Amino acid sequence: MAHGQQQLAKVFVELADTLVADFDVIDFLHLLTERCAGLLGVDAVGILLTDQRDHLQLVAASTQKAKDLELFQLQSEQGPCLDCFATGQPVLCADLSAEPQRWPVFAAGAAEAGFVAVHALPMRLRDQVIGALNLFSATPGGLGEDTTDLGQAFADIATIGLLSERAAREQDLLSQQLQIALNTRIIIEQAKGTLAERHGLSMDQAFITLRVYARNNNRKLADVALAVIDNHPNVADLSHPQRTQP
Amino acid sequence: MVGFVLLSLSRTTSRSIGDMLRGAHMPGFGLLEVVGGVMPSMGGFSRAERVWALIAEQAAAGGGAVSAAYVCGACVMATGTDGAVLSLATSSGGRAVAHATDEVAASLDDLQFTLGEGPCVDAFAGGGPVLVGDVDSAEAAVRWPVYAPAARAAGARAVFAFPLQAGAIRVGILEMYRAAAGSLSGEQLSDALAFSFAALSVVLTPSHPPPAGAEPAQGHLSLDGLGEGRAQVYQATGMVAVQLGSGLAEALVRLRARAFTSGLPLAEIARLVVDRELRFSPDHGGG
Repeated sequence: MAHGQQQLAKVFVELADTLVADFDVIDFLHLLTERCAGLLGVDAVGILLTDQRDHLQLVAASTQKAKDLELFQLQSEQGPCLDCFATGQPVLCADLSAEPQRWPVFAAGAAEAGFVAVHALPMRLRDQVIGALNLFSATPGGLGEDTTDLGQAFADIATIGLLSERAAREQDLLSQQLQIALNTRIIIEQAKGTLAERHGLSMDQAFITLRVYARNNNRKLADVALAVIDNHPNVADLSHPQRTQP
Repeated sequence: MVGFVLLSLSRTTSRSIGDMLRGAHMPGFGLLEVVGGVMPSMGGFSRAERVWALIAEQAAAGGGAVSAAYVCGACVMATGTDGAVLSLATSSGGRAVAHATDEVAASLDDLQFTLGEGPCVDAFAGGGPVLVGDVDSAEAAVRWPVYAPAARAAGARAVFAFPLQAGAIRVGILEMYRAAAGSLSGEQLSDALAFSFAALSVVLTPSHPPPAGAEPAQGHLSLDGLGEGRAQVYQATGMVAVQLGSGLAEALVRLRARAFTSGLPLAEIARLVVDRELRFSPDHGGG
């Protein structure tokens, strides 16, 4: 248990370290999904945010399968994460096959992606729900109370990361942060396409290239993405993607 | 903010962070109403559909095709504001007003361009909406010392500026004003966002009209977000920009034009590009 607590402290310190001024919110949320999966012992984690126009958008996922399933859930308009967002309450399902009628379309999609247990935790700001943190497991089983609390802590940290303290107090800043985060996702997709075309990469390779380059050069993912789109000289060394890939 | 988070984390209790978020230690929140729902509301129509219907209604009443003017008109009605102005960035770095519903709206835009400060300037630079429930507040005076009193003198007490953007494509600003102070409600904010996306779609419409018999929906820019097909639209935009040696906005216009002329949905055109089954060349105008 002492080891577990040490791990926990390490992850929280790592996440807090990224919350410096002018940090990269998308990169932060990606890191959070990966660390959350590792610490909670689930197979994948995803984060959905409201676009303030009646829909949720995927902003981060720890694995490709989780990303696919989240998108599938958004498309089919049913699933635990949507229920969680709609109600603002945790939605826990230890075994999807035990209650096939709850979300028939989603359950089938989850089974195909190899997940049988799904837990969705709300990202809340007082009476407002801005998104959901979703935990996916390949084996059936509920979350213990401690694990659920820890998962909720991750959801809360994601919310903090997204909203500055000022944004939490002011309507315009809250809306601004949400819209900027969602638009940053689009910039990254555009940069993936740009890079993929320039260097004959797949979209996944293009994303890894961007992310590794941003990390190695201590730059924000969004800034690197914009520089790639503008073909800016300060990302000229990205023209040899094989060197920057892990 | 950061210091407070670190303090909370060093105690490592999830509840202290959760309590903070739920406002236990942060009195005086002035928040949105609960933001959005998940399902399309209003009798089975999505917000985007409802917004397009309002714009089409205005256009039909005015006897014209969908344009910036009708976007502004419908937006004012839906958001309970008194006027709106749609201004576009020009290639030379200036701004051009596509439409203003009235003199106050026009002068608000003009003011900011002249002064170089104001909600529009910030929204365009920052990439997010800038919402000012009262330009006469102390905060607004600090943020825009010259603009704030000038806006009030021009007849606006509340101002809401939304960038017209899709990722790195940022083409202009849709701005609304109210003669009296007052923030947008959550619903009004959601509608205003939907109108800013509709305005973007109108601005990025291919200049060549679609051929007779083409379904308008074929080139319809679904800007609702990043569903699977939509992510591919943005990826394809980046790819086509490289193929054309153009900017992203032109690439997106060409993709939409191809959707119109081929009769395929935009998402399908995008898939073909991403799968490298379709390329664009600079030689063929109009896609």
